[in-house]
Amino acid sequence: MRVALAVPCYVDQLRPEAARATLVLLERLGCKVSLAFDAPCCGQPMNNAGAVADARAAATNWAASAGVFDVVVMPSGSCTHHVRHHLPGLVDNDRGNHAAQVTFELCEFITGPLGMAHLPGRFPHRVAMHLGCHAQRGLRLGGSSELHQPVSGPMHSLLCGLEGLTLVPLDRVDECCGFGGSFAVGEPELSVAMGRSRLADYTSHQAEVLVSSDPSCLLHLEGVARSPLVLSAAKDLRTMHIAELLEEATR
Amino acid sequence: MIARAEILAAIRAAEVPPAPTPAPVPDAADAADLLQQFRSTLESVGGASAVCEPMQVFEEVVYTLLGPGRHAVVVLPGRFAVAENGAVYVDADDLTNRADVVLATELVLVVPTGAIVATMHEAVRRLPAGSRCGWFLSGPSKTADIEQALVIGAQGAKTLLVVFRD
Amino acid sequence: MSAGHPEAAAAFLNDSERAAWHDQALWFVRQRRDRATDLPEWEALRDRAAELKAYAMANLAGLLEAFETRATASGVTVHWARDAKEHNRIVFDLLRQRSATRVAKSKSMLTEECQLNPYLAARGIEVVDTDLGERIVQLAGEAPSHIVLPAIHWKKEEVGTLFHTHFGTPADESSPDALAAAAREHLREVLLHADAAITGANAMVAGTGGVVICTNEGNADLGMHSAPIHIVSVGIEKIVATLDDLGVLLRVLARSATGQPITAYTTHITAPRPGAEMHVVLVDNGRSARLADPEFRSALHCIRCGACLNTCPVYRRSGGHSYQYSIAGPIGAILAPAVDLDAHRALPFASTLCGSCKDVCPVRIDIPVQLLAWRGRIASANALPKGYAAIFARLGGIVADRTRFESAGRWARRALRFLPPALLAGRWNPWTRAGRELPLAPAQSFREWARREGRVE
Repeated sequence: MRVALAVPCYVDQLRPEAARATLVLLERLGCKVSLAFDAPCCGQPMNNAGAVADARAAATNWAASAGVFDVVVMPSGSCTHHVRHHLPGLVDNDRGNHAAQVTFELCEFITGPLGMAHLPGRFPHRVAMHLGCHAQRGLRLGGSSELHQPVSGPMHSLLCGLEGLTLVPLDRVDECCGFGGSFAVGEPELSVAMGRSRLADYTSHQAEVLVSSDPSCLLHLEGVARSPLVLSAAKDLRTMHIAELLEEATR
Repeated sequence: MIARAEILAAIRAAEVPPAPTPAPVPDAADAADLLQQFRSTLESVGGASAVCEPMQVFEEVVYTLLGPGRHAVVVLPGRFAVAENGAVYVDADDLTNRADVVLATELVLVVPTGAIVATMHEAVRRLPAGSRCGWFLSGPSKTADIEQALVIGAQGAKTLLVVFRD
Repeated sequence: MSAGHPEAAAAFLNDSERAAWHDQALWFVRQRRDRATDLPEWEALRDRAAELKAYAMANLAGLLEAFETRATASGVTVHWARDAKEHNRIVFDLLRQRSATRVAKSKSMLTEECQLNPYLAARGIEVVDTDLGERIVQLAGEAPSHIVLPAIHWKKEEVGTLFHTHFGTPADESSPDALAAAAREHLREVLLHADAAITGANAMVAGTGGVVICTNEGNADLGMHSAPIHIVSVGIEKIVATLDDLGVLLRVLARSATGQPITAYTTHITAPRPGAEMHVVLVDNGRSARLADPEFRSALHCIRCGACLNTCPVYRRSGGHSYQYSIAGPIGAILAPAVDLDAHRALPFASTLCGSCKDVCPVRIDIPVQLLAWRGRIASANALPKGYAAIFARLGGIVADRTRFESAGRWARRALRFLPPALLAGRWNPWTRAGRELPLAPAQSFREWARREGRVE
């Protein structure tokens, strides 16, 4: 299958290994991956802060880039959510709708269009899974405790299929990590307190690895974990993007 | 009257688009043991219940539930019980004083045997037409306002019993 | 004035142990809600509850008129108040005409919204809040911090000290049972001897002309069936069309609020008791204006269950008072800006948009969508929080242009890699100031790597 890899702006600059792992993984799964997707950002950071006018140019460029592809894969639930739910309203022409239809989050692409509920691989570690809120309650890429649904969805399925992997149980299976885009800097004390709560949940269940399909959550949680103010157990936690984990597990 | 006219005019000017009339909720298919469900639910909300069999003496049934000690029991008639939430419907027409439902410290509600509905959907349909005042009473008065610790007997009844009797 | 939510939240979090306790207390309530709502028909009930509210809003004027006709016919006097001031004056006039000086009030968020207590106090009328939690905060001179659990931020030892001062309980008494028993004596005395009873209402039923009041303590009933006059203060949006609708509402309300199948007392009253008076004050106070705004109309569906507060990770860790509005939490954050956009402009930003509120809401209000819409309105009104406007205008320009983006990214990564941390992580930097390290920046971006690999132009 021919797919375009759209790398979110902050992943390109701050977590390139997640993008590289996505590329390697998709090729390993038999995809022909184009890196010709040129637009840097879908406009989410501005749009979520209410700065709709400032988001429009980026979103329009993004939709234009998506226009020439039939499938666009993003290693981010949050950005995929923005593209699918907000681009049609943000972009004046029909390309917003096209972008919304062809863009997939990495895990949902693997279990959906690629049709692989599990990947053959091995990852013998205790793993805590964090599904970003936009992936979960926005894209419904996982069950929600509010709706009395079990922990589930594409990322969960892919993790459960790996040999040797133990998903640690959590006290709060789907609480927000506190990133929230502009919230992280607008309400930093709350944002960090929420991050610490999540980390304490992971470490109290002896997780070795924290995995998420949302690099923005990881960026935040990793920053909180590395702070000298945080309990030492969190410092040993290895934070991985789901692409990095799957790529390593399927080598 | 100016206020009334202005508010109604503002509401009509809001031009809320029409919304469909909600469909009535169908009665539950009664398969469950409603009496059992009612009794366990009432227990979970701090009340207790008994069935007074035709051969039994009502007072004895009540005092067995209350246990030993001095009691000042107020007995009020209930019209019917609701299985899903342990509530009993009491209508003010059956009382001499509305405040009795909250003044009593030990309250016994007597409900006709078999008068149990499954859910509130059926319960509201059984409200007496033209009722002036009525209550769904579910267990004794309670509060959790101090550190979420449940305290039974906040301001009204400290004990609430339901006795089914023919 | 809630421009300072981040500051208030930071202050609340300063006492980290207390903040953790507060968070956990509310999480327990959320878990109780999860168990109580685990019914096979729960999601269908939420659909039905959303429908009945939408129907009521679409037919609001007619339903209010029908309610008024029926209530009047059974001896209730119905009043209409355009705003808080008018509501307070109506209530005051009723009390003054009957020389009432001691009023027992049961829980009503509307009277908080209208600031009725201080209004009456200034005119020589003593109002005692009779819900235990509300009495606690009233004695302490505070406002409720939660719409259902007004004193959720109080520890039992603190209640003990408060009651020692006011009710003479032993100084070291902190058992909830003993403290509630002392309050029972005090409150029954107030309720049984008040000159008037004021209650809120959880619903009005157009089909019966009835007012529905739910409490667990029974305080509303003690007051309204004892006092010579019962005044109900209720917002116009609280109306439902039929008893069928009421049945649905009562099934979702307490389950969502406290995880109970129903409250201990649910009173449906259509007429005063013989020899007594009953008055209903229907209050608009901005509601009809909100009805006219399609973007925010559904906020009027709120039944004040508090489920969105209990589930909100922000509310749980910042406390109700940080919102500086009578209704805290996610629902408060979409209601307050409609009252005063400038004063409450921080509230729509006091959220990560995680969406948990929307999934617990029994009437399916899409709170995150409205939070986002308020952010947009605030931006349009040039009232974004300090610094946001400039930052996002610049950022929006940078990320819309590949060349500018790459050059800015290169400089940012260089700064992160080579500048001394003390320079980047000062008090001025909100990313780091609360205990969060800056990202470890890589030497090359993904795009630079791909270019070197010859994968991209």
